[in-house]
Amino acid sequence: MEIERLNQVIRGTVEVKRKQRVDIIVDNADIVSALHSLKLFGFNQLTLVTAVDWIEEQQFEVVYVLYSNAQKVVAIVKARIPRENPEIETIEDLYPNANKYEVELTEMFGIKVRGNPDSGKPFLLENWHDLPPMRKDFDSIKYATEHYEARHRKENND
Amino acid sequence: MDKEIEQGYNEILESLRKRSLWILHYCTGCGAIELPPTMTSRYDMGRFGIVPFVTPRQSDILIVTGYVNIKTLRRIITSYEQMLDPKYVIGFGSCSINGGIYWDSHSVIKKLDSYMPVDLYIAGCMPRPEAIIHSFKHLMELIDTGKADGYRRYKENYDFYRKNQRKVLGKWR
Amino acid sequence: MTKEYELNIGPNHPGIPGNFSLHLELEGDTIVKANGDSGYLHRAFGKLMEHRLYLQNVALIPRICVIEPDINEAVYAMAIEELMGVKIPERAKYIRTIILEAARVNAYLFGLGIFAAATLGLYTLMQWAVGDRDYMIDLFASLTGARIYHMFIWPGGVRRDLPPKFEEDILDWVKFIKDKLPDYDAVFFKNSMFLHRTKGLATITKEEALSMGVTGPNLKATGVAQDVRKDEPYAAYPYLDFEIPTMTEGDAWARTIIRRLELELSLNLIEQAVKKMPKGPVWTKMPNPFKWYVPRGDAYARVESSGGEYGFYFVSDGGAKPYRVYVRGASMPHMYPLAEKLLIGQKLSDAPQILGSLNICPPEIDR
Ligand code: SF4
Repeated sequence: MEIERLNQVIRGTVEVKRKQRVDIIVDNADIVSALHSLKLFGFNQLTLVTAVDWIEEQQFEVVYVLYSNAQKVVAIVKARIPRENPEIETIEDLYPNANKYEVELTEMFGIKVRGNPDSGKPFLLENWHDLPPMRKDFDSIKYATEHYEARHRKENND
Repeated sequence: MDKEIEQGYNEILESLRKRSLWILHYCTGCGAIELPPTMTSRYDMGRFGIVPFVTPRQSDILIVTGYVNIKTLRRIITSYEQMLDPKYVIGFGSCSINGGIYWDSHSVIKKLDSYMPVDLYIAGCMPRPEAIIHSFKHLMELIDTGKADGYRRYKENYDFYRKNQRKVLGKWR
Repeated sequence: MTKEYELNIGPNHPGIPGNFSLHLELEGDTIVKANGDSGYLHRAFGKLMEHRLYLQNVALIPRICVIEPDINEAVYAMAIEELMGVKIPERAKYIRTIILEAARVNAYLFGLGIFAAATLGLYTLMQWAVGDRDYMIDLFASLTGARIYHMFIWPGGVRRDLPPKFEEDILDWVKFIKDKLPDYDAVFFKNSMFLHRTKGLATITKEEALSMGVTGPNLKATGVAQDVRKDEPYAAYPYLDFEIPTMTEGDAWARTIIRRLELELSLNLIEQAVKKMPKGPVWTKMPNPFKWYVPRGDAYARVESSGGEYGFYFVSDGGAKPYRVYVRGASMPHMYPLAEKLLIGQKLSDAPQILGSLNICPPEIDR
């Protein structure tokens, strides 16, 4: 079970970045199968799931960080998905703690998670009617200035 | 004659009130970390008759410890309305004054006194226990002189507060 | 004849450790379903950091988690150092270790104090532990003037050398806490009320814990010696000699005792680090801090916080501001799904003990 052998089990690019870090870039369609093989390979803990909004390329990059307890290696699995109607498959049955990370993904980026019953339910936000707030095209400064009253500074200090 | 008696009665009441202030135990933001040191052996605010208490019904002070998320704001307002008169609000830290370091966050309000009447602000990020104790003593003075009248202002300007609350919380009650 | 009903506890409730709430479905006083409700402390750090220069972020990030702010500074610095390829001086590594371990002791003292007081009604420990923690805070205040948010660790090392006499003072404090530990044991860890209310409560097995991504004391209590300080040593941990404490019971009692053992370990680590600390520079000089440009790329930096693994997934596009930062708090898997699962089948009156023993820190979930 060596990290070098990862290449043979996963369809995608495997790059050993440094000691204890592996970068794995997979295709959009291969996410679940890649994570499945990684889990069999020994990556038994899911550390986080998040996304990066590459707005210039009109893509979201979904990022899964996994940890192998036995080999003490962190694997960072990345997949690009289109920014229009983004959808991914759930990995909840592989890693039970993925559920809320995926819910957060839907809430903060608007990425739909197929197969996750909670996807789309509010988690951190309440009564949110604007764009998903972590997207790059959501301007939080503008939103804050428009919605929340600010205290105006006095011109002179008396 | 009657008026004088009432006035004297009120004065006695106020001076008794300021000696037993109970804080509603609600940690709304990061400033809450400085409350336990203030309560416990080192600074010991029990000396001034100030103790934390768990239910809104029996508490006198609502300390808004720092930033107020809109989700928390709704709960704070409910808690505040559940408290019985006379009640006082202390805004704690620069976040409650003007948004502080979270001025550009999409989920944190910037000016607490638009949504509920604040009797006293403590500046700082975060205020030290000495500042907290000082502010309590100042609050006692305000109560003594009848200047801590936030709960009256809330009733008088109810429409104003409710309008502002609706603006951020949406249609709500 | 029992009937199901629903109950909301929190966010304003002394048995709830912090600002979050629980939606419970009960049958009699047995919990049949538990749903956490977070977001009361959401400030969107990822978004805020995108608006600020790298230097400005140094002031922002300690505010993510207030119980133990220094870990945020450390991971932030580590992520940037990894991307920029900066090596930090030896002395800075030791100073970081001392600060991080002292912060960990503070977090445990505070956490255990609140746990004892708010959930078990043993107020003595809170009075002592929180009071003793304050002496360390005085020492922290001598670093940069701030009691809680020190902003002392930054990319390239630490901001300045330790103040004079800091090393002796911290050793004094370590000795003071060590002398106090038997007292803590007497009032809390050997208190029969604590034992009766936590032994055998909410047991997790090793396999469950691993599959749910549980880390830190909660995982060590099930017998897995997983700790970032050992597995991927950062700062000066490779030079120090220590063993990770583990227990095998996996119940609320074991989780609390582990925190007690960790506290002792941290005190030992501080002693070791202070004794081994070399002299020398404390900051690798980096060009004008207002114009830090971090090369394009991504990094995942992680440290061991008092709750478990704490990390930043950090993406830079080569500009003057971070492109994307995701904060991985240790409490996220501890609450969802672990606490939600553990609460099922328990009595309502045990819920605060379970939550308290998991050491959940809501700002890590909400960010
Ligand atoms: S003023 Fe500072 S300490 Fe207080 S809530 Fe805001 S950031 Fe936190």
